[in-house]
Amino acid sequence: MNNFIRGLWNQHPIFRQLLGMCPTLAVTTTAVNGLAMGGAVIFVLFFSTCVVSIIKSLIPAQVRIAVYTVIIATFVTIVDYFFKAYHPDISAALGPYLPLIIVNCIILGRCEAFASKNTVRASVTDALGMGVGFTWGLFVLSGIREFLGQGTLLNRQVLPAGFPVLGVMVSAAGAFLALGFLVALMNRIEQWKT
Amino acid sequence: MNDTLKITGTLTVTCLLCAFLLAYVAGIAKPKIAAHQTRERRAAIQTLIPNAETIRPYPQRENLFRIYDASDTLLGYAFLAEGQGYAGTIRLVGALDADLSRLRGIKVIESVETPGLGSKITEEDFRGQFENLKVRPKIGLTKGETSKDTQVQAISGATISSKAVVSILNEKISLIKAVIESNRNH
Amino acid sequence: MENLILIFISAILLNNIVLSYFLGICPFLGVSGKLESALGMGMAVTFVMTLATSISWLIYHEILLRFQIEFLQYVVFILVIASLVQIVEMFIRKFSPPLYQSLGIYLPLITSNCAILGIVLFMVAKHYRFHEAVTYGFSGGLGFFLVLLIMAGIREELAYADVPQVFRGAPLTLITAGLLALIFMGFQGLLGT
Repeated sequence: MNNFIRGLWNQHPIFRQLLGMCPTLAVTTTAVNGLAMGGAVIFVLFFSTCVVSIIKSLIPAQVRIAVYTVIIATFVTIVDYFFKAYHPDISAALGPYLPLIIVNCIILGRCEAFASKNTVRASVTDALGMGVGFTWGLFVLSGIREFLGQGTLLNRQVLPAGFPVLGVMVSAAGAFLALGFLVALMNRIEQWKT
Repeated sequence: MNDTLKITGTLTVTCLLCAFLLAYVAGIAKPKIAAHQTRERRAAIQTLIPNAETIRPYPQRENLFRIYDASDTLLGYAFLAEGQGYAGTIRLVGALDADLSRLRGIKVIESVETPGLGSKITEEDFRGQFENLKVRPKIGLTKGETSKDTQVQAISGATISSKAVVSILNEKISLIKAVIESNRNH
Repeated sequence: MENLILIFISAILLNNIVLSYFLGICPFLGVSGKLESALGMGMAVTFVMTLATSISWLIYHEILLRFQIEFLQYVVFILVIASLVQIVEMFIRKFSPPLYQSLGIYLPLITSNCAILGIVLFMVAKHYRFHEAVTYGFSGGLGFFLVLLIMAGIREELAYADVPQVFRGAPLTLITAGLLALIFMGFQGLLGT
């Protein structure tokens, strides 16, 4: 159980470890994109850590990173084909950021730091925790950007029409600013707790 | 020696297994992806030629199609073209009359031009200029008022994006003319 | 030629890979603290990026597309990049020890730098021809280099500023990057007319 909880707050991949920054910033223009990215990451994280912890004793230490990377790339390709075949609009919105999950440090990080040393069950719980943590991070960030930038949430109009929106929040600059303030906020919350 | 063998072996086996798995997944997904693309292309062509019924690929040419109506008369040709714009690749669908003298219209399907300037290539004001535009000898671009029926007006502040669209079209149309005319003569 | 100049300027100023495509953020947050290390990292990335786009272009078009096995592209690209980094590292160590001294420690970091895989994927998505792809890789690298240098310069100064505790480190870097991205949006008007 601890393995699961850890990724949700104390070792939150985005706010505490600052991992997987490119997708975090790039695809969080709308909440739907954020959720789709989160789902893709959970899938890849789950299966890669699962496979890695099963075959960990078979892999020579010198090539373990190469083997992990190939395994991760394989699962990413599968997700990519899934979106292309069943949700082409989401696939178009995520674009090359979906295949970029391959170099998302969270996944290789969990394979190397956790799955290669622990049982399948522990690894999978850990992966789910990290994945869910990553997803809620994406959801919060993308929700804020969509709300402030377009006045909508999950594609539904929330602010009254004609209400001034901050177009910059949807742009690249808005991504950096929003994440900067969010990380600062998380630091503040941590301070209060102690 | 034994180590080298083990390392090479592990890598080869991993790569082979992954390749087989992916080949299997790709085999399932590819027909579905192709179907999506056909559907999208059809929708785009029908916005340009509303009475288009049958769309047949031109023999031995990718991205060129013959368009027929319900009674199977040739309405014209549709094409996919792309080129470098100001900020990235511009991809568009266009349709030509059966005698290749006029454009039926264009539709930009992918572009990352500057929001508010170059992005206007997707808007009606610019796009509309290509409806029934004469393309012989070639499409021209002007910054002022149009003086010929082959001319379109550039978007102010985004000449490079406008010029890109026109030159993508000119290049593609002259290529299509060459292909279709050489086939007619044979 | 006009095409290549457009790609060059676009990749450095208009669509900078760090500030508008968010590629290579991890080294950007990690390495940009000191000017000297930013220089080394920037050079290493530009070099590997140019090589990676050229080789991946050749493999993608001459092998993967030709034999219709493009479903292997992601696996192949990441392996190309990883082996490229290894080869470059061995090569530099053997033939130019001084260069190895300055670049060496940054090379292993590059494999996990998403900017390299990113630029290769964007190159494929943009359907570039060979010379365009190489130009794109090179200018993408320069764009990364430029932003890394600017950022390192700013952070060296910021180190002496009195910043509220909660903003120290990553939050401040992110916000600075946001302001930089806003400034770079000004380049959108460049060449506009």
